[in-house]
Amino acid sequence: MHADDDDLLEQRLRAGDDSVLATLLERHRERLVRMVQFRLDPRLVGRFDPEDLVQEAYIEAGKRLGAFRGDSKPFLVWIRLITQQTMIDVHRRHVGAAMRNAGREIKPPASGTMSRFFVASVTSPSNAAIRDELRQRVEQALDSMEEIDREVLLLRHFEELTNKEAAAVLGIQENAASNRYVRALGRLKGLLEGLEPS
Amino acid sequence: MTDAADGSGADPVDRLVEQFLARCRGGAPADVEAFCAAHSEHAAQLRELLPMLVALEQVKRDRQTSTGSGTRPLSLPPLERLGDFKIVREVGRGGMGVVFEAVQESLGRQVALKVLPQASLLTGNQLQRFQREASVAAQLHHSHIVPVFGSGHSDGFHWYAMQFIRGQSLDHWRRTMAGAPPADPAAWRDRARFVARVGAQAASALHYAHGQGTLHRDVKPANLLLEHDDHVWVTDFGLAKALEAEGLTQSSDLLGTLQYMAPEQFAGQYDVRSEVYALGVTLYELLVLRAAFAGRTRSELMEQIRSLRPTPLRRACPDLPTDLALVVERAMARDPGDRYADAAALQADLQAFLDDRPIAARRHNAAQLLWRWCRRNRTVALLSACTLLAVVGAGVTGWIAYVTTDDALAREQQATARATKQGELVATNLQLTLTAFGELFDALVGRDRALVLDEDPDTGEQTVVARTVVEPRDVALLQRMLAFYDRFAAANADDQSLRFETARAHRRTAAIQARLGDLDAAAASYLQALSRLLQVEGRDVRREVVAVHVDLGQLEQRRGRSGEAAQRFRQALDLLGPDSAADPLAIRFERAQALFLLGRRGGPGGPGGRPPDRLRSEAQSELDTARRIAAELTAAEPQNPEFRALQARLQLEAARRPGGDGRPARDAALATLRTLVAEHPEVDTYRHELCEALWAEARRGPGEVRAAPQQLEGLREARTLAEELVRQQPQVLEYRLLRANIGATLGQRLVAAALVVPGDAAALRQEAELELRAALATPAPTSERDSLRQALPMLAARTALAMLLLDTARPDAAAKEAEAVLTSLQALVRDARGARRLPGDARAFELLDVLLRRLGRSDLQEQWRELRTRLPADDRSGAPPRRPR
Repeated sequence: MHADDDDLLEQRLRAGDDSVLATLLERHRERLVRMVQFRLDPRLVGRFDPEDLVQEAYIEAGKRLGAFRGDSKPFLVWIRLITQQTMIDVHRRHVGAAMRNAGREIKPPASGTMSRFFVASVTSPSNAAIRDELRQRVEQALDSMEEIDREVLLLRHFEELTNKEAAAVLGIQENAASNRYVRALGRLKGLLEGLEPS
Repeated sequence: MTDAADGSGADPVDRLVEQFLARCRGGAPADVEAFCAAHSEHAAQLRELLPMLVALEQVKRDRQTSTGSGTRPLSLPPLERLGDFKIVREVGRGGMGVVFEAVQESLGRQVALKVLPQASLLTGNQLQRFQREASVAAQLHHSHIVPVFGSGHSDGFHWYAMQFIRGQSLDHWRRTMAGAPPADPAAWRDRARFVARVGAQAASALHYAHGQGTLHRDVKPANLLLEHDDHVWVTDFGLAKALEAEGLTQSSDLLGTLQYMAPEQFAGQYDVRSEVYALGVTLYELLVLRAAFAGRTRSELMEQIRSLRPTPLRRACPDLPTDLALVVERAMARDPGDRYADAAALQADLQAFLDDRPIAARRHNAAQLLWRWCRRNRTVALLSACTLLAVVGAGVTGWIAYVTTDDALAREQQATARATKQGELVATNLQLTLTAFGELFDALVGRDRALVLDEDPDTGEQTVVARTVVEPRDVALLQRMLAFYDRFAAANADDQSLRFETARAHRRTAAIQARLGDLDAAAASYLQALSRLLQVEGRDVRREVVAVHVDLGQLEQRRGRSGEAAQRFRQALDLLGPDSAADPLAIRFERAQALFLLGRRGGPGGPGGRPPDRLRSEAQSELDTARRIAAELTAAEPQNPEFRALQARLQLEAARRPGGDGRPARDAALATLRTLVAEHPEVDTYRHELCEALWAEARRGPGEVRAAPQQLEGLREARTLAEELVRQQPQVLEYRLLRANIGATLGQRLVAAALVVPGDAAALRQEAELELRAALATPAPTSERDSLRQALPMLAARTALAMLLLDTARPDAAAKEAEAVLTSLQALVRDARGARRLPGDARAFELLDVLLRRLGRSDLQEQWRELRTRLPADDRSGAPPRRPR
């Protein structure tokens, strides 16, 4: 199974086998790209290809393997951190000193970022109105949620993390993460009350 | 069913949600009801939550819809209106969409509306990119960029609204013009100006966009719109990247775009110079009215772009003004480093052409610019060179480490493709690094003759590049670089171009060492160059090998090894083969040069240095062949400075031929050399040759002596030239010695002239004393060979100085100088090799005789008589000096 495989690869990597890094990176590539897509500052969208940014993070990861081995962070958490750091660096380079506030810059998605994906989903005029409304409502709902609720939804859905992985990223117990997730879904439902999915 | 592994610590509902998600993501229909029914214990909660999940997934999935196949037909149903737009007519159809003329009704404005294929056919990524690029393009405001009003979606279509440009694309223009190129030179001038105007406008638009951080990514005639025959608009910024990368466009359309792709793009490199290239190819096509590359398949086209040079413009359009051809060809140079550095530089040169000002492409390539910079900021440049060396060294080690890791990684199946791409990037980076080193070399050394001639064998256009000042510390720097090159070439043994570059680097270092007077080191470096050149496979290095042989021959000659020199010249000639008028001019030039060096008087195969087995007629026929080739070369290219210089050399040689009246040839040669010095003040070799020629002229034997004043003028001119040479290249030993020798000769002639022209005696003697003292103050060369060579002229100078002192009533000082002359002479005679050198110029001894007699010092006269018995037989008689035959 994939997950077992990943664990094994992770163990080998930690034990000093550099040759498995590429495989591990490849397995996480899609979700990292998604993460960048969702979390990149809207001002930078259009200037950067998320794939390029992830590629840059890979190079960084290769350089910092020693740090990975000296730490107990799961690989996913580690590579996400590196990718986030790369995003921050890109910000620094391109958005400039005026905007320098790392904490804010990689804050989970600004609604502007999200909305692009909803726009993209429009396929027919009849659906368009509904989708448009859905987009606005989901955006508002996510914006009004507590940060950890919003984060858990993003991790589980947009980045396609498993509960275990999401828990590791959030730094909480698995059952707590799972409860959070179910509760967040419930809250979203409450916030979107009355809306039927297409 | 997933269970323990992921769900162990999870909420039971979460576990079910995960299962449901897994199904959805696996492609199963999101049937909430059925799932709830199957899990009745949580049905109520699931019924609440699963729709949320569906909504969230829907959002994501829209972006991730996979494309499946690469190309799709473009199908647009007939449209009458789209949202706010009333469609007027279809104006074009391309791989990326259909363009309509439309009216935006709310604003009542006419627009060009680009409509993409139905959105359902596009992936989320494509749309995202499309919108991203559209919004970037909308931020560009420039008088030659089609304004983008906005983009959006209506009725299931994605659109992109731009200002409507009334006119045609240059692609269309080119196709309509294809049958009718300009008929005469006048029409060509107009056409050239038109294309230059188009290019300048497009370049200014590109440069503006580049400044905004936006690359066009698809510069081609079809994306340049021509309004009212002279205003050019660049359109579709960034759209290519947005859509083509996703395989949306038709394959034929991709092929069209490939035409304008720069070679480095195939290796994943793309920057502003790639757009300069694409614009260059575009302008090329507007001039020749057909495609620059004509491959029918993708791979064929790529191969051509990588390895072929399109027909030179001047051949394709003989009436095209040369300057524009140079500009366009520089813009589309295969190596990005050879192109204009950015679109602004291209624009500036096109504008220069339009304004009839000199263009930069003619003279300034990247290396020259760097050279100029180095000359202005000498210390900084050297520092930078060292720093660069360190940085690149470190970088390279890093890269190699990276490649190694990457190799290991590549064994993992999925990463293979990625690793390969990385590997190519690394290779390209190395190549770029080496190119940078090459430029640095050029900057320090200047391009040597053969490399200059290398520039453009097709048009024969070339530039004479001055050599910068070189110093011993440059050599140290270059040698460190060479170690670097060698390491690289060894590590990349199968990279032929690396070997070639290394060979070139060794040759250039040798040239510097030779100029600095370190002949043995230079010879060693030349041999290194040769051995590396001979290892190069799959590339014709004959020209380079020939050039190294010729260089080595000249070096051996300077080292006094005639046999070896002759052998080198002959090897060069063997490689070149018999002369043929069909050969490229540069090859014929090499041949003539080698023949001249071999057959000239004093050359290893010429009179004076001729080995016993050679006949004089042989040398003569070599010179005749050289002369004939040179005449043809200058006829073919009357302006080529190297050709003219060679012809001047051969004329001087002819003038020295015994028997004939050499004056007309000599005067012609001197005139040519004077012109070359005036035209290329930065090239020290021309100045050197003129200087040597004038000096040789002044030293002629009695039979050909001109009137004394004229002779003095020639010597004075030579002296000025020598001074300039020393100023220009203070480290070149040969120039310093030449300056001293000319001073010595001039001083001696002035001393003599003062006796025949009594009116000017005082002034002449003053000048003579200055010259002689300056010559004598020149530090003696350190090498034995050079110090021997220099010994006699300096003895003569000192003798003349003593005579002058005597003439100006300073007998004590004169006696001191005479004593010094005898002391040096004694030292020379003690050394057998020194003694053998002495008879070469016995005129000095005549003067010494006179001096000692006038001084009336019997002890010195006795000493001299004794010394004379130890001189070689020929001169013991005190007979007039023999002139070489």
